[in-house]
Amino acid sequence: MAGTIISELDFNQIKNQLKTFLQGQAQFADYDYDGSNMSVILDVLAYNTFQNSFYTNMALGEMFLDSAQLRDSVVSHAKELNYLPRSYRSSNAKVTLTFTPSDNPAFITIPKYTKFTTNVDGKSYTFSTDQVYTITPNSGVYSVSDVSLHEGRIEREYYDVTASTKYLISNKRVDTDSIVVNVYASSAASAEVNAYASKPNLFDVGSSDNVFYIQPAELNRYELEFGNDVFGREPKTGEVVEVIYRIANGSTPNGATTFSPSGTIQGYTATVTTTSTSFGGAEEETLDSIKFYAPKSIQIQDRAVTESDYENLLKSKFSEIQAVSVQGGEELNPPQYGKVIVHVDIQNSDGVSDGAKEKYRKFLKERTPLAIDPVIRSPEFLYVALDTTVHYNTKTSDATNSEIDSLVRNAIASYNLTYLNDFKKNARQSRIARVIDDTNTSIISNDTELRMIIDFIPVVSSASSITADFENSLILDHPLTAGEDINRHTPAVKTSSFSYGTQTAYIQDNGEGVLEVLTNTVDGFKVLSGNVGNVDYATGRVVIRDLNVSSFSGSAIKIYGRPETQDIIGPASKIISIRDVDVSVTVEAATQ
Amino acid sequence: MATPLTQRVVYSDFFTDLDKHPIRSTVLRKTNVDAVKQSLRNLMLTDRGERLFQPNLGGNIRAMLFENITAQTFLTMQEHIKDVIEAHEPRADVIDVYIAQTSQEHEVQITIVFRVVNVQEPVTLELLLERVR
Repeated sequence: MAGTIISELDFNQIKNQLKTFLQGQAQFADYDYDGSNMSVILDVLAYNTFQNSFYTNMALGEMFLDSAQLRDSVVSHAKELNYLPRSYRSSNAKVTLTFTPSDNPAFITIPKYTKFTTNVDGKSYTFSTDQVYTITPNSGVYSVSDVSLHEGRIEREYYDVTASTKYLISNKRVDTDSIVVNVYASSAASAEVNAYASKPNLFDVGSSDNVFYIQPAELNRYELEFGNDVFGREPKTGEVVEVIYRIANGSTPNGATTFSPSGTIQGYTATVTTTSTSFGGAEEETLDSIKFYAPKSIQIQDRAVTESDYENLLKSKFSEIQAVSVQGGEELNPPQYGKVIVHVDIQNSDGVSDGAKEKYRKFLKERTPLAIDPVIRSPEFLYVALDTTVHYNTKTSDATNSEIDSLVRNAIASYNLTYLNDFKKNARQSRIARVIDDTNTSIISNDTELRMIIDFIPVVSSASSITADFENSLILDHPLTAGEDINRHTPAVKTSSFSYGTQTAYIQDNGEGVLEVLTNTVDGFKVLSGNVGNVDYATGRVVIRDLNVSSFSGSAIKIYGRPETQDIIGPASKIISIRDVDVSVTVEAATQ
Repeated sequence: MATPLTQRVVYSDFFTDLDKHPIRSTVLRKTNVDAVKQSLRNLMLTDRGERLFQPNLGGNIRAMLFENITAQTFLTMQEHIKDVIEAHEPRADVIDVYIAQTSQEHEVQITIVFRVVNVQEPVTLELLLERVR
């Protein structure tokens, strides 16, 4: 076959190439006819070449991270990049435990791995503590808050140390964050025991340090590696390694709200109050995610220096994090030098618990330069109020007004999910208008206006203040004068109504940068308070000071800001989003 | 003067059993009309789906093993045979296909009368399908 180039993967093309080769000889000429014996031989040869090509193609595909399909291959490539694919993660909840013992003990101890049960979607799950809590009475009350409960069954495995022992963790659903390793000097019951700590890298590891390393292994599993007496102590033959870990159920136990202790704790009955519903449970990292983060992990070298480092580190480590936005402290107003502000948005959660903030901060602190202090904040929201009037042609559609209304609302909700609902996103009026136009062929045009909203939740009957920073320029109207028709004034800032004393009032700017509390009467508007704050039209910064609200409806008072342009630019610290309640749709039928 | 087709080797194939020349030990060849007859025989005895990546190749006669021997079955076989020759053996122009049950039961005689392209004389290929046990 010298001189014949097999360059195709398709069976028929391979066979044609073989026929081309046979054209160079005259001994057997029937290779072109399907019934010939020659053709049968060519079929076999082509099929064999086809199989080899396919096999080689697949095998070569597995050799590169980009094209690998098998998990073992992807994980192995990630391992070369010093990336540890995320394992299953236990859902985590915070509770407060209260005891009312009759014998008034000096203290009550809650042991590590104390079990609690809960129910999510009709299925029972077991949670447990991951540390010991000791409660001493405070004014006769035995209570401990911020008790961390982690979902999953506790498993123990033991390995006799030999020269060839592999410390392969049997269960694929291990939460690698939960792994605890103890090394016993021997199998005797009274043997000395040493705890080993998990280390992600070789930094600061001495030759006698009791450390272990977690590595991904074949068949979706993880294995432990110990030091070699250079970077960590190597367990010696005859010792026994105990590995304790949780077997997690992934994301299904997320959202658990009530927990019950499995029996008494040290003989006492505990009352459990949930302070943070369970979240953060996740399945093992997907192949796409590993392919995405593994190369980036080698780029950032497990260090948080640039903005994207923070984002990549947090998102790859904590599955519950949906979005991250990072700002240098020098960009803040006023500047906070030496700090990095990290806004973290958690899936299915409106904020970040203090415990989670501390967890993220600690994780980042180990990876930031010495003088940098990461500050974790819950995301702030900049909502968009959308008022649209939709004109549609009744001659080209049988749809009713309410059906058009529903279609438009669905389209806006879909736009919000796809293009907004994240940090640093922009709401552009022209794009939203186009989405509305495209909702239905009968829609002729729409007249859409966008405004910004920041929620203000004042303390009722108490002086409340807020600095609401729209971070977009506001449009300025003429100064409001006494006796003017209030409807002819278009304020840059206006709030939803609330009770101020006994009157229904609202705040709006007077066109000269001052916020006033107004109420509408039959004789026109009346100023109830001439100065409750101010507004900077250029920066969009609104400050309300010492406002005493009697009551308000809904979950918050909405502060509306009218942007100078109809493009609302999403600030780095804020998630821009359109809520269903802030969408107003007016449908008008037209016949041409 | 050009060599007539009956003397020139135009079609050549090896034997189905890869038989070799008794003296030279080279692979024996079937040539011209014999090669076409062998090709037709192969097509008749190939079932559809048997050859890789060629699901429609074959006379599919063996697949009719358990059909009742009726005139309709013979007609179907005839159609199959004509179709497969037309599609896969361009060297043969089929003149007729006869299918008959022999006097001994459990045997079917297939006779294909065809003409090899560019050869005047008709050629007859006979296949006897019989039970083996």
